[in-house]
Amino acid sequence: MTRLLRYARNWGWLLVALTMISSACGGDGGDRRQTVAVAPETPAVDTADRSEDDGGDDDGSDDDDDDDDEVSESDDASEGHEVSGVDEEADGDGEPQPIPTPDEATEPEPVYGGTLVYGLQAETTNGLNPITAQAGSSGHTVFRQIYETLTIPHADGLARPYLLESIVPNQDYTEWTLALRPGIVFHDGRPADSAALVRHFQEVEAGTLTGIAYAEWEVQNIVVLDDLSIKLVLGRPVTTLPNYLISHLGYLASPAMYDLGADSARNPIGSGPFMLDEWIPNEVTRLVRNPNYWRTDAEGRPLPYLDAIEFRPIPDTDARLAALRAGGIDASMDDAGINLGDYIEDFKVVRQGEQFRSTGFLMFNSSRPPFDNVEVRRALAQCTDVQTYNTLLWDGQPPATGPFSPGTPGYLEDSGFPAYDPDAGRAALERLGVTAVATDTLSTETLLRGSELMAAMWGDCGVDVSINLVDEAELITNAILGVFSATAWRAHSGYDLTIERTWWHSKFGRGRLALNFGRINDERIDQALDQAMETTDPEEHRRLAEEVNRAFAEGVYNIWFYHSNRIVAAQHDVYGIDTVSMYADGGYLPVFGGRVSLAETWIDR
Amino acid sequence: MTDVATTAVTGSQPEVAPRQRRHNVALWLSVGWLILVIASAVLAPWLGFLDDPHKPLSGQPEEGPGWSNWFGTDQLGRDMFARSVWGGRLSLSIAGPAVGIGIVVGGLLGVTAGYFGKWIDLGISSVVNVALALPALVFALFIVTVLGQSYWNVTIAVTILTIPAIARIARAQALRFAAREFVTVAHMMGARWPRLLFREVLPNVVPALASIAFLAMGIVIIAEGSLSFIGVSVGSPSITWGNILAAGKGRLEDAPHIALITGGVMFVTLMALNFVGDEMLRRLDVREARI
Repeated sequence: MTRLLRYARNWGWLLVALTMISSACGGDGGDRRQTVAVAPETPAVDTADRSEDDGGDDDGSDDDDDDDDEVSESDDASEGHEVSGVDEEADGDGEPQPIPTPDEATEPEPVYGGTLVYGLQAETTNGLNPITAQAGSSGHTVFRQIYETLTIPHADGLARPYLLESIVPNQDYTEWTLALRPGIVFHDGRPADSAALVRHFQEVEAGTLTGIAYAEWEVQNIVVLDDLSIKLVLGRPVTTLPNYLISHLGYLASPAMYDLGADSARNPIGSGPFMLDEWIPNEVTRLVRNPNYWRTDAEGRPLPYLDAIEFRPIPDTDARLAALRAGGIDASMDDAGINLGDYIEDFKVVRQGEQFRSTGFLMFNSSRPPFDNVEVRRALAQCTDVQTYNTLLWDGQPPATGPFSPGTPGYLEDSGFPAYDPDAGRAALERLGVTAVATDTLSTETLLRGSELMAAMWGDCGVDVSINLVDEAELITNAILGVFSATAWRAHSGYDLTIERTWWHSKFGRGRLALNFGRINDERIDQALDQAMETTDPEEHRRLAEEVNRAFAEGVYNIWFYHSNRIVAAQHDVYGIDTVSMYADGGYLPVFGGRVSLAETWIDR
Repeated sequence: MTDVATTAVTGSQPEVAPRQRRHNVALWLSVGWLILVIASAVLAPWLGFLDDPHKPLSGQPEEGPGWSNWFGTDQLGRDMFARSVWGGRLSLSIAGPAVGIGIVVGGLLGVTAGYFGKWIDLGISSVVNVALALPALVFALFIVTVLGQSYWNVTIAVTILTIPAIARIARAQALRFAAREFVTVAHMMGARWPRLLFREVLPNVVPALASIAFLAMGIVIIAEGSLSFIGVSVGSPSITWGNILAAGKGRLEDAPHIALITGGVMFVTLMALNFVGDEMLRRLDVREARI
């Protein structure tokens, strides 16, 4: 059954891909990036544009300020969700139909009340202030309930406004006008207004890490236009600014929270569907319903449905699954590998689609011997049997060929990455005199097994491997400081090449603190990333991403393993996991980066 | 009176003999097991029939015990028999030096305290008592965390744990023997303290320490296993019984053999060590003077 589902899903994706290709070739303008989202001097990226994602006209005529009416006209919110545990039906031609969500199949009326206990992979490091926190997918899952972002990702690669009502560039993308939706209030009762937006960007600029990305925009001035609108005046064109605002740079918090200084990490104040009730690090983060939340469901009912959420960090994958089985938790996130079948068999599973999956890889520190030598990196890549690695740990998926998953701009079936050739690798390593290396990894079962597997493979090539077990906070800190040789890592959704810039461009690999963790210094990558900042053409973005992919293969800065299979598994009486009914055009990306919205989640118990 | 005593002795003989035989059988089984485990651990690199313990896909992942893989395979298809043997090699190679150093250092400290008494005893006993009051696992965890995960650091951590316990036992033995007649007589005959300590007291303490060593080996194996279980013992890809157990704990439902068989090997080894230690304590109770 699982295999049938997988085949059907793959066919489904093939259909989607063919549809996308045909519409791209259909001569309707094709340039969604420009015409749909960021057409100069038009509020193209606003709530009114959501309905024309199906290839409609893009002349800018629909850029009026209509808003919530269109939002509430949505159909099913979870189109585009990939849901397992539900039969897929094919029509007479054998073509798969859109996969029904569990909500469609057995949807009862939403029930208000109850507490959802949600298993996280990790506790967030450095507290709950998104500017100062080092958050992975677990942290972002919590943040999305407390804060929400100014924009959210969309399947076409350009983020849509979320807390914002519109985000509009000028002709040359050196000015962006951001307008908040009216009626949004923070948990402390203050309105989300232009003053809050200004403060937000000031805090982003001051943030140690967020400030690095923000500096890329070269903001010259922030102009307050009215109560809800500001204009960012930039020193350079930034064509994809909305995409920056889907994550750390986009979580809007009350100015009162920032006034708390260091205490803000323990006193988050956002405008999200839930408010902090209690936070005991590494035990529980308890959130309670925000009675003044701005969003309603498709029927106009107030959200959220739940009274409370308890997030419980359970780092061990098996322990998390066991807790789910025992009923100790109602839902759980995972980066599913060989346990995917267990989840699908026993629970309701919402999965991220093929597109924009983050990639699991071994990241070399290219500034440290012996990994500063590309020949060493290449030889070790030749000694790594990625197919066996994936067979044993990641549900047998084919080896990743680069940082972009299938369906993502930049994906290449053959990027030129060194093939498995242990004889060649062994000979090269012998010639180079490399006999011992060290790697860091998290102590989670799967990653530890993966490191052991790699150690065995490299051992066959005559290299002794010592594995340093570190916790998530240490892993991230070591990466930022560059005090590692090689480390297991997972990142890069490939959502936007310009966002990846901070991770790959050599200018972010210098200095003591660096976001280019691998200290990559590659002229081809730099040039492609620089050009991507200047263009709005999606085909050019694709070409540049492919160029980056090939440069990665040639430089072997990482050994690519798999594309992350993010899932959220829930008990069968839990509904509406990661439903956002206001974006019902099929472009909403569920479980994007492992994070979900729980505003429309309810328990029928 | 004599008749009664004779009857009693005669009557008890049929019961004592089978118990003694059972003891003997158990003792030899224990000794045999220990010889087997130690020999296989020492000879592991030269045992041709052992698979490479790191080699993936020696069989299908998580396969149960069978002819091709006697103890089954783990999540990566690695041979569990080979891993158990190699795990024992590392676990024993930590326990051996730890107990050896513990016996020498702890034994000397204890004997010195017990023989000399007064302020020397007070000083050593105070340190030992403080050391014993520390939670052992937390203390070991602290040491490994500070020094880092390596074979030597883990060995140092568990060695530090063994020294005070052995010192305390050695002190008690030394106190006992220092007050015995043969020591007093030797002293009256003009023997000086080095002779009294090393020729009269220490030889009587050593057998007790030797038997304690077996018990301590078991404790150290458990301590190392506990550190491995929480992921702070010798780092991966090194194999210890503890990290095999840790790897298997999450797969008890689907592949129980990973944890249970290795746990069984560990359990039998500890039982054997304890039994041999107890038997030595019982049989080597030296009370005779050299003089």
